Amino acid sequence: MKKRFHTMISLLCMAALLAGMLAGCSSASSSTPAPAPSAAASTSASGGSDASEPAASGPVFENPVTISMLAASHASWPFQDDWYVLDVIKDYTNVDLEVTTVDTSGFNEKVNLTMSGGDLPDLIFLTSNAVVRQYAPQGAFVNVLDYIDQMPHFKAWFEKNQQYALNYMSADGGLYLLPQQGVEETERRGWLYRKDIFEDLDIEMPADKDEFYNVLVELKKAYPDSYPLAFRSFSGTMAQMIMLSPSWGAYYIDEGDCRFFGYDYDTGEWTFGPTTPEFKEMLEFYNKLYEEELLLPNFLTIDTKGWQDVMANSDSFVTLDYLSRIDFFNNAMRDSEPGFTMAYMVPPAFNADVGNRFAYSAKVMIGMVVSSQSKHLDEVLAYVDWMYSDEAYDVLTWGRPGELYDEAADGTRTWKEFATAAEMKQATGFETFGFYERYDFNGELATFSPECREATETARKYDLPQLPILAFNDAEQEIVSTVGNNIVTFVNEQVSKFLIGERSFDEWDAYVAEVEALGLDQLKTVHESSYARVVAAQG
Amino acid sequence: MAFRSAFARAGAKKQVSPIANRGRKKSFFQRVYRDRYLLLLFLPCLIYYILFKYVPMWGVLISFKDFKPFIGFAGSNWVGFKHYINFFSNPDAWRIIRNTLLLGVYSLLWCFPFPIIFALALNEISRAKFKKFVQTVSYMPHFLSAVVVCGMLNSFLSPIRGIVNTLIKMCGGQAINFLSISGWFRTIYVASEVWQTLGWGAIVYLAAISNVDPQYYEAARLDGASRLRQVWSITLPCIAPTVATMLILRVGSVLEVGLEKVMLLYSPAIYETSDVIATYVYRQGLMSGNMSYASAIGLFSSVVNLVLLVAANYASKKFSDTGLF
Repeated sequence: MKKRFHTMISLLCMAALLAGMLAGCSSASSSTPAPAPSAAASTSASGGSDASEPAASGPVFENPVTISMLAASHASWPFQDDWYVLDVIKDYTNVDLEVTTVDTSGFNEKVNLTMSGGDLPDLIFLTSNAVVRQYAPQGAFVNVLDYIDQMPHFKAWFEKNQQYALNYMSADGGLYLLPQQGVEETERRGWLYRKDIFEDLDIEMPADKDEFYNVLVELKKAYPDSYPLAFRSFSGTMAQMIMLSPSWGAYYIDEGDCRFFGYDYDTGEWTFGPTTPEFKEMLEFYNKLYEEELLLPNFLTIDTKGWQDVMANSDSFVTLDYLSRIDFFNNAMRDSEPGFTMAYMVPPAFNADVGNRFAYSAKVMIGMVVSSQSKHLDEVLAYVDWMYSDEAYDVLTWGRPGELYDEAADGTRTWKEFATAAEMKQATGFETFGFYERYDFNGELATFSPECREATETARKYDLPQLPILAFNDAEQEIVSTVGNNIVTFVNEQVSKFLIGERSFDEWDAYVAEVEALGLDQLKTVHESSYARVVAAQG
Repeated sequence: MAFRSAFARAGAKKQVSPIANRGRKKSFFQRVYRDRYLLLLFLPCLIYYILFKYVPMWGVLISFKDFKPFIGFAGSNWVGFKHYINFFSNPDAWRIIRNTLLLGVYSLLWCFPFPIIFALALNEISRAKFKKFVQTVSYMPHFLSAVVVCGMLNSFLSPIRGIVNTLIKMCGGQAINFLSISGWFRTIYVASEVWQTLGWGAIVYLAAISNVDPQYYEAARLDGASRLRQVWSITLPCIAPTVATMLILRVGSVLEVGLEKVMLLYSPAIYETSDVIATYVYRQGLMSGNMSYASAIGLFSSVVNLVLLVAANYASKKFSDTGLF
């Protein structure tokens, strides 16, 4: 009897172990989203309604349609399945979205897994163009230009914004990533400074390079332990250079835009910024600031949290970052330090030829792709088309008329309840991944403090022109991923060394020769051939 | 050795029993039935190895293809050694191999002896409570994730308000920009590694030391051997097989430098010493989604690891009669 009992126990234990393992396996394999279960049913059901007609009144579809979507979920406003925005979409389109979300940090991995699983949801809201570059040539996504005639709203928008939409175009001339418009304003960056400290010390706004330097010297004199200027490192990606160098008349490598060279619209010439004399001048300037302890010494390595502490502790007074950081710092600091005022600084003229101009920063490549495997493509395209309508533009920004906002006589709208953009996003789901294609940025602006709103509007005046965003075909990509990657690694390293004085400027000519030897000419050819396609597409 | 032969004897004795009496060999299925519980216990382990170790081995084949995930393995083209040639013709290839090897070797040189010395020292502490306390405290860093450790390093080594630089300044020195100067990277990496692995690594040696027969020590004390003499002539020889085994295992993973930690500590300014195979694969392979290229480099470092492991095993067998196989 006793022996039987022991046997039973051990069998139970083993069964439990096995069950655990199996459960582990099955949960892993079921992580790819299933296709919408009602897809087939709804196709036949809604066959009667003409999906391509813009619906002036009533929802887009007569009968409920289920569309599956994969989107990233931001940690600060995680996806909620009872979001107001889902309700609005249901009201206006009769679409039930079946949303799978993954945290932004794991999103690319999830997309890659979904791709190799081969079982795609109808829509994926992508947070970068890289996925399109990789998978569109393999036939994963629909080229919406092939269907533009059945998408009246999109067609109207596309014809009005062709220049903008061309940035999203792939090397084969297809448009796979549906361009969003409006949210790019959140990417706007610029010079920020501590207005309260400047006023205390009676310091004037710097208008050019020399004044900028003198201001930092003055600040250092008043606060000897401080490092008046600070940057954060963006995980060693040298993203600062992309923002800094255009004001000096040279363009740094911008891999996000697939562009290693700068483009001059006047001469039609592609130039590699990091080897130009203008760029050298900039490096010498910042190296001088570094040597004189006017620049935060660990600006190449400091993480975001560390940089926030530096700014909050008043260890630094001038920085370069997203304009929304104005409210971020002021809201957080004014409880303990009522005078704390971060404000927008008009970009100084670092190069007299460029003037008071700043890099074009309000740009981002995100949007939806439509799966080529979708079982009810016409309906999915009709839904996407609706997102480009004026109706969607309005209700996906502000909600149903008058429900969440007050409208003044001159048409300016203010939120009834939301004091910050985060509150608005958390409560409604507006302006979160997957729920916009055309967004009215006034919706977010309405949550800004007056000073931050003013800064955003002022900053637009100082934008340099946007450079073309390139798309490489297979042959070009081959060169980019070998020669291009080698050059990026080398230049990032050497520029860092020049900045902190680990390499002497006496070796500048040697450095230029070294970069050229890595195959700069090949890379230039690639830019020219790729851009030729863009020009051709513009007609 | 003694253990092994005793085991063999016990096995032999068992086989004499009922099976031999019946005079015929049991069939495969009968033996499976007889050992069903043992086999069932073993099953999860077997499934684990097949599923997570053997099945993925087919994946190395994609390093000879231009793998396109959406098209699938079968549809992707064979490209032979293209990815390997690309890797070795890269101007940075030798630098990252050298950096990986040096980081691995330095970690081995420093992280290997310290736990042994620490275990020996702990063993000499007679007050049990104090010993337990020291041991527990020394484990703690092992449970910290790389992110936390690097966060601590970042703030300790910061040139402004960092504790290390504050101390240096107090002693009249100049603040050092530790994480931006390539010469410091290996020191920082290895030192933090030692701090993190010291206590945890000592566990195995403490277990080996506690297995040493106390009679040896009694005999030695009667002969008038000092504490140091006892450590040198009894403890060390007794744990030598464990030390050799651990060493071989460590050598086999010399190229496995922690990706997370390097990623969190490095920046372009210090690529010179900090760019390793893993970070390179991350930048060139995974960021741009080139899985074939990444797995080619992965296979290359596995082969180097295998060669090192076999060599270490051969050397160990030659010099100390201890080996894994």
